[in-house]
Amino acid sequence: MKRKTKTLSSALCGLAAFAAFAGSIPAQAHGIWFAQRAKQMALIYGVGSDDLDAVSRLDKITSITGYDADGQPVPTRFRTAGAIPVVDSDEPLAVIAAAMDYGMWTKDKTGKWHNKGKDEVPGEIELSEHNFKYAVHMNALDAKVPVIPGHALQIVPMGPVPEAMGAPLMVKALYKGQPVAGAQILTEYVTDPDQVPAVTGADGTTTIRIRNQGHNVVVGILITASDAPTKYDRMEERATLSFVLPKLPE
Amino acid sequence: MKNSILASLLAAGLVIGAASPALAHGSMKPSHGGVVQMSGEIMAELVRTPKGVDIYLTEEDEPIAASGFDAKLIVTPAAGAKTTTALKPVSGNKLTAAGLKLGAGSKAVVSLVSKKDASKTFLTFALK
Repeated sequence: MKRKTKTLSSALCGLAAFAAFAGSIPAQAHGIWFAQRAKQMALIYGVGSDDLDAVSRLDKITSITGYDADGQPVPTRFRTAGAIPVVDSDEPLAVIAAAMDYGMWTKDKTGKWHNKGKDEVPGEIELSEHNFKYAVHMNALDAKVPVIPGHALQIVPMGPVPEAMGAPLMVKALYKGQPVAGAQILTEYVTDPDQVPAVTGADGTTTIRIRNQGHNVVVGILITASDAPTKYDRMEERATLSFVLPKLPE
Repeated sequence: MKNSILASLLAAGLVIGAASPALAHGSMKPSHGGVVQMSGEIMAELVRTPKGVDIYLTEEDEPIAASGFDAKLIVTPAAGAKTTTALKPVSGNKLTAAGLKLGAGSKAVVSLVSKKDASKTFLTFALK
């Protein structure tokens, strides 16, 4: 057992080292998150204030899951409402989660991105990767966020989220359900996407300060080694955790 | 001089203004002796009567047509299994679930699906 723990710990340290090395290389920055649109909870694809076409990317969604206030799964799906995909469930949700496999992307020497493996792109290759995107939204600040099946990277709050912006919030990055060092954490993906990220420590945690008295999208990014080296050099896992701080009563 | 008086008045106004509540989008006062919940701009009032459960819908203090929704009431009692009952439009902004009894400690979710655009609204009541 001790040996197993040591092996896992060494593996995670190796992963952290890879993440720290690879993290300095810019990658495709788009992520997915949840936000309210016209009273419905919508899936957003974009970065910063870019709210791009999520409907045409619904075929890349690999899972959507919802949980009620007791942490029980609730049947949940997406419904296309005009230009946006909205969350559709028959009961209120405390936690909503979605995963997206964005596929293989290879950047050639001219800077052009190809939606294919490096073995299919002629000429010199600058970067090749497989991108995965995840989103988790808490409808209540004290919602229990479970380890979500299919989310290789997940950002979870350590305890209830404070109600006031500026307050500290400790978050933990989980990779395949285990705390991971070296994950980059951005405090706010929509209103401050270019900030210098915090990096999780050996226990997978870091502390951020909540930016907005309203909607917040915390993002975690982890670069891991390729599981198919002939196709791509690395994998990028990008996970958001969103929640809303309350405003004063009207 | 004039400028400094104006500045003082503006500052005082700002302080008072900051302390005043903003304009509300809808009253949270029950109109039928029930309990109310708001989601987005829709307010629902849940009233327990001897004949069952009535729901009244308003938006920004104006009644909205109950016939515009497919509605149901999902009840999780303090003990026992969850049940779902259709809420039928009666007239105006009133929906009803005839014969339904809600016990103390139960949780009731009013589920509204707009017939216009299929958008959903949930309002959750913790009943005493």
